[in-house]
Amino acid sequence: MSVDDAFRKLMQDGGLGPAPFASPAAAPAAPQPVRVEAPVAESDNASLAPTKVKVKPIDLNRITTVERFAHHPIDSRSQIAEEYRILRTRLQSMELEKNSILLTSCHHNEGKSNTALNLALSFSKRNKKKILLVDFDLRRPRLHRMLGLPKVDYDVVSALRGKCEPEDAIIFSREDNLYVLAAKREYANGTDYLESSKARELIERLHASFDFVVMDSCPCLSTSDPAILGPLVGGVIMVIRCLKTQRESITHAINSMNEVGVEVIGVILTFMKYFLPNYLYRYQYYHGQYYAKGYGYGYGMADVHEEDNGDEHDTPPPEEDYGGDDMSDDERPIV
Amino acid sequence: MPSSSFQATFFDYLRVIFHRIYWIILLVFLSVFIAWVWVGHLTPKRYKSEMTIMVWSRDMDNPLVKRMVEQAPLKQVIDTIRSKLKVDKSLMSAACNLRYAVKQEYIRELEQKNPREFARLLEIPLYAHLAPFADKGRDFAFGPGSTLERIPMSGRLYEIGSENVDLLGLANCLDTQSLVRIAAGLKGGDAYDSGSNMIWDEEDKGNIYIKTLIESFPVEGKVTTFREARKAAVESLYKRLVVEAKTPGAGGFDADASRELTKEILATNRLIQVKLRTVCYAFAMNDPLRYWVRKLKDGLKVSPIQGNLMSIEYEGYLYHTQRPYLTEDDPRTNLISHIVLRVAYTMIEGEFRNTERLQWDDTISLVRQKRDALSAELDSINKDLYDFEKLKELQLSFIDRKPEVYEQNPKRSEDPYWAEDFLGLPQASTHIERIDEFTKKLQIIDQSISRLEGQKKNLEQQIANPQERWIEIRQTVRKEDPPEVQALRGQLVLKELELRKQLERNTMQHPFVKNLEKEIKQIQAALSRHNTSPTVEEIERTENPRVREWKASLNETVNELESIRKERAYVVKLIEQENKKAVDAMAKQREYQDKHRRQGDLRKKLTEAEREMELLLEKRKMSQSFEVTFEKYTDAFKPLMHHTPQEKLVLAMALLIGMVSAAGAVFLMEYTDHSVKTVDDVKRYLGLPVLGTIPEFDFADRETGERILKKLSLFGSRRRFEIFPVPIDEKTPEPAHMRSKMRSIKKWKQNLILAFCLLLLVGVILWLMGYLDPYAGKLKRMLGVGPKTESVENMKPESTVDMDKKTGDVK
Repeated sequence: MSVDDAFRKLMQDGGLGPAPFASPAAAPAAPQPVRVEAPVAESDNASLAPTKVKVKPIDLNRITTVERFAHHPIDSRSQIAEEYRILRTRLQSMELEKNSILLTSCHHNEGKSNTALNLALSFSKRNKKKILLVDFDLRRPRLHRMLGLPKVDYDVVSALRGKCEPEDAIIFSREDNLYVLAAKREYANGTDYLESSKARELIERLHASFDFVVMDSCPCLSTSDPAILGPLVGGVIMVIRCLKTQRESITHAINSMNEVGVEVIGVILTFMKYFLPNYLYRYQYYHGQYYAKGYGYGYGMADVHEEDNGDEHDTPPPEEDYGGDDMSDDERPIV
Repeated sequence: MPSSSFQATFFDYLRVIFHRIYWIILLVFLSVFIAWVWVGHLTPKRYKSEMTIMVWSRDMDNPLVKRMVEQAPLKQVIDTIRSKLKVDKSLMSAACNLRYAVKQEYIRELEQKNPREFARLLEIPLYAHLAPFADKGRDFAFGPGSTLERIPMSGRLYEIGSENVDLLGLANCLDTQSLVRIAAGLKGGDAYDSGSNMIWDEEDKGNIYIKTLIESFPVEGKVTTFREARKAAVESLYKRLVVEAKTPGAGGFDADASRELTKEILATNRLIQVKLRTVCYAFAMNDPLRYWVRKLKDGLKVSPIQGNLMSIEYEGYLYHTQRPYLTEDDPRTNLISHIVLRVAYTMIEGEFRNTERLQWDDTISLVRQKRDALSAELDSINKDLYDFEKLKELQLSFIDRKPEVYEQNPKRSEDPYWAEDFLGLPQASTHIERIDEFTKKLQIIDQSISRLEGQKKNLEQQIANPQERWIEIRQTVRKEDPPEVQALRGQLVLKELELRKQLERNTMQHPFVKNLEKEIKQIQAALSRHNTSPTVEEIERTENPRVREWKASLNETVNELESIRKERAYVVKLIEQENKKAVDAMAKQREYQDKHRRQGDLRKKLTEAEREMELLLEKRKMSQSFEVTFEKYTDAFKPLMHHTPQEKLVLAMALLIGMVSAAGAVFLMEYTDHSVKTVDDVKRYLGLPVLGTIPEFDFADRETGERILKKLSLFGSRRRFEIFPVPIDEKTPEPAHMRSKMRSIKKWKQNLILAFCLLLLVGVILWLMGYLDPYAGKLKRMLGVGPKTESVENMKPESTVDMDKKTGDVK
């Protein structure tokens, strides 16, 4: 189900106001989270059956909007940003069943959240598609701290439990063009929420409402969350921290995922270290030479110099211009 | 598990090394540090002995001290010592001599300071030091530190050092084996077995006495070895001596025997001394002495200290290992170095004094020679002058007494110059007067001669032409011819002229000529008829009557002239004689005057030389009696440093071991580490596609960085790190700014480690180069802190004195 279909259906179902792209001026100045009755699932038995459920689309107008997240964006001209762009390109080239990926790892602190965030950001900067970043790592959620999210009443667990609609919990950043569904605090029994049928329904809705969903989850060796979420998403990606993750544990994790029927579509190596100097390293064609200083997509040398001298300035550096962003300000979605 | 064709390449090994670079550095430096600690603290201690000799004087105006300070004779002294030590040929002998002196010093020291210990050493059985040579198949442990080894010709005894072989130096500097060989060579190529004894030293003539002992006191039982025999003999001798000492005669010795015994005892004492010497020899014999000598050479310094102070810095090293006689607690170890220093000090002082004395002697002898030459010349001149004076006096007295002499001997008055030959010293003026006299007489004689000669000439002329004169006299009285005659004469003349003309043109037969002749004859005939006065021919025919008178007077004048000429020749001869005498007299006078002048000069010079001589003698006396104090400051009592002979080797080995162990450990760690490191690992072990490689970046470590920054609080308030909540309108912090700071902190840590390692490396290199050795003082000299010393190369030895001759004169 594509986004356009969902949108059309939404328009048909009920007048939800003007279309977000048609009249940005009509958007409410201070949107308040509105509580809407969530459709209650019939029963747990019903969820087990692979029947096609009619998905209720998410009301994007009700989403809490902020100007920007308080995260530390990566310089779009840096090598790391380029790595994320490469990752994004590869993911796009892959044919996924659903428009979502789940990031997991063997152990915690291997760079899942960072990778998820930056991957989502790299997706969101590309075009005007709607990208959602979900923090399903309910045991040790990090995204809300990394992004410096404002206080909201509801979070992903509220949505999972059906206490609220997902749009009440989602926060949209206008500059980053990113929707985030984060966890407010740590939940010891996060697996219980994920196992419920509401969770499946929520994921379905998310799939229906957004162009691409990036999910962050727990380590797969210590928890079963990825195994639960794995069948519901388009693909599971294993995040491996270089110099830390033992290859035995990786094999074990992949085997455990395979037992459930989930296949890992690929790995992402984080905390990669290059011990050799550039002139000795054999992957230098891969990493180094395209990202020499002063090289950028459509950026002049002046910007580079400003970037270089930015450290010495007392005044903050000029507003970052995201690479690959074709949109003008007018075209940006304003809810 | 899918496996790919993974092969480790050079880059993989390189990656491993770079990955574990800190481990490698750590292990290498750990091993080097351990080696350093071992070299520096766990090895035997090295003793350093320092001595400073200060030459000190209170009186700075003293010329001797001035000279000492300005001309620095100490340099010369040190040169001498250095040259003594440096002579390549006699380096070992110098070392021997030094060691010998040390030995003697040690014995004396021991005797004086620690008589009890000395006595204890005396009580040690005499054969102890000879044991290794006497017993068969025994391990030689000849004294501590000696380089004795098992002699291959064991079981035999070799006589070393006969009377005519000087083996002292050899014995001091060579090990026994070499000694034996050399001695064998000296003996004629074959090491021969004396079978009964051996001599250790040249001075050790004990074997003779021991032989006597054995003969005089035969030991009971079978004597198998020389050692046992001598032991028994000595023991019995001592027993008897003890008895004899208590009650005279109880030992069984009569007076002669006692006298003999004293000799024996003296001999044994000499043996004891030898033993003691070997004890001393043992500590000093070891190889480090060579090093010591080298250090002594290098360590001598001269440094002028303010004003009148000078110092000789001197340092030597003594090495010390665990030995029975010398332990660390044994005060004698310090004593040895002290003794060594004292010997060097005495050498230096003696050299100084010696050079001083030699310099004075040289100058004084020079002045004395000069003075002697002057006085000798003056004496000869005086003698000459004395003769002159005497002669003069004699002459003057003779002149005064002239009349008396004439009265006594009237014949003398005839010859006024009769005394000249005897006196030999006439005045030049008298000769000149005489010459004047003779010249006047000569003038008179010349006048008379000229007069007589004129007279003679006239007479001779008159005698030669008496007719002419006569004609003249007659012509004066002849009258004038009559005119007829004159006409005839005129015709005659004309006719003769014509005839001459005709003869020119014609012959005599010509009729004109014949006519003319006829006419001329007619005219002449006419003229002859008219002749009135006699012609010249006529007068010639008549003789002059006065010729006789003239001849008589001529004879008289000739006689007179001859006599006068004789007189003149005599006078001329006299004048010549007088002239000669006058010249001689003048020369003698001049000589006399010169000698007189020379005498005055010589007298002046002599007085000057004598004054100088007196001054020098005074100075010398003063220098001998003058107190130039030599102060020495020794510091030989502190074990300062540990020493490894092969410290550089040890450190190099440690470096090598560290590197090897580091490499091994690193590859082991890498092998056991199963963590994923590269894309290849994923491909190899997991077989999964790698979607992306995210390098390590600062953002991932943000929270750690925050913690560090909060701890350090280097960058002021941390508002930008307030995590939750963040106001919407607030501007985002500068990520690049923070990133750079994070990076700088990380780099700072890395750089700190690297700097530490670099410092360690520099330290090790300096250590290896010897700059950290406090004794060498290289670092001080390099930094310009320490005393400036003159390099050894610049100080060339001026004189080389053989130390062999001065063996005993060290003190």
